[in-house]
Amino acid sequence: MHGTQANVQPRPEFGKLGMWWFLASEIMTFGGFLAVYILYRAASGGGWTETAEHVSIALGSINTFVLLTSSLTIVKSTEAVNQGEYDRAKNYLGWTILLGVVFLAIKGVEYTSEIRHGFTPITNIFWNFYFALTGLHALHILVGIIINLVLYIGAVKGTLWREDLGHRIEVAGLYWHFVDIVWIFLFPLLYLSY
Amino acid sequence: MATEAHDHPNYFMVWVVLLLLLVVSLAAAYMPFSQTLTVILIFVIAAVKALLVASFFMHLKIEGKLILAIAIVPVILFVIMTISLLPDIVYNPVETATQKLEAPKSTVH
Repeated sequence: MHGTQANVQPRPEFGKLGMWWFLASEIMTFGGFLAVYILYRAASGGGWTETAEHVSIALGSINTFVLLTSSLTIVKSTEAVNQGEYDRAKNYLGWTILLGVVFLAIKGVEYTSEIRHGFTPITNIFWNFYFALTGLHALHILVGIIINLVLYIGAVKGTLWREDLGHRIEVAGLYWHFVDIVWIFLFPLLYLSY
Repeated sequence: MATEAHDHPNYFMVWVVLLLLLVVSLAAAYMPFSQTLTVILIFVIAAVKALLVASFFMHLKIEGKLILAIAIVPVILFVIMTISLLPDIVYNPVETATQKLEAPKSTVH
């Protein structure tokens, strides 16, 4: 990409390196939470099945589809930046934001239905984990939407391209893909292992 | 995986494979398999999906050793942490983990 020789590895850019460093700390943040959930669930010996059956697999699956698709749109945006097709990059970024909002909206519908049926964070330990894990994840989605929105505004104004900051979309993409990966594990952990 | 000329994965194909894996994991959850088999299947599929996203969308496949190390070390730490807590929580569980959880009166479905 930068015309380096085959045997010389180009130095990673600061932004990219910083983001990966941050994601390493994020793996431990979610990791501690997930480890305790996995172990408590294993210790329960199937005792949580009855209450865990009440999550909506349909809505969880739709949200998995939404997030996987948003990962595709943001990586296509990065690709378009590298090809100098800024309009296409801006549009793909817009789709990513929209899909993030759709994810949160669906999550909101789920929460509303669950709480109305009496499943709240204090119902029992399963629902406590459920709301904490999906809540922390939803917070990350919200942050991702804000980051992408800031870049989108830059793209619309043209500052992102004029100041040669297009690579920021790639860095934002790394974060967004990470949040997608967290959901890839939350989906079987909370929705499918009943 | 489909790789075009210059380190350029076919993102669309990766996405198609990810969606297929989602369908397979749903099928596995609904099949009348034993619980052990279901759990193994859905988590193997989740791991493959995560690897696909990391390798192709996050470009770990073509990234240098430094970034690869930053990504892999915490994953190893996570595995060590989980395994080292196993005796305490699973083999000598506290009551909060083992009590049978009843569903509230009304239900979602």
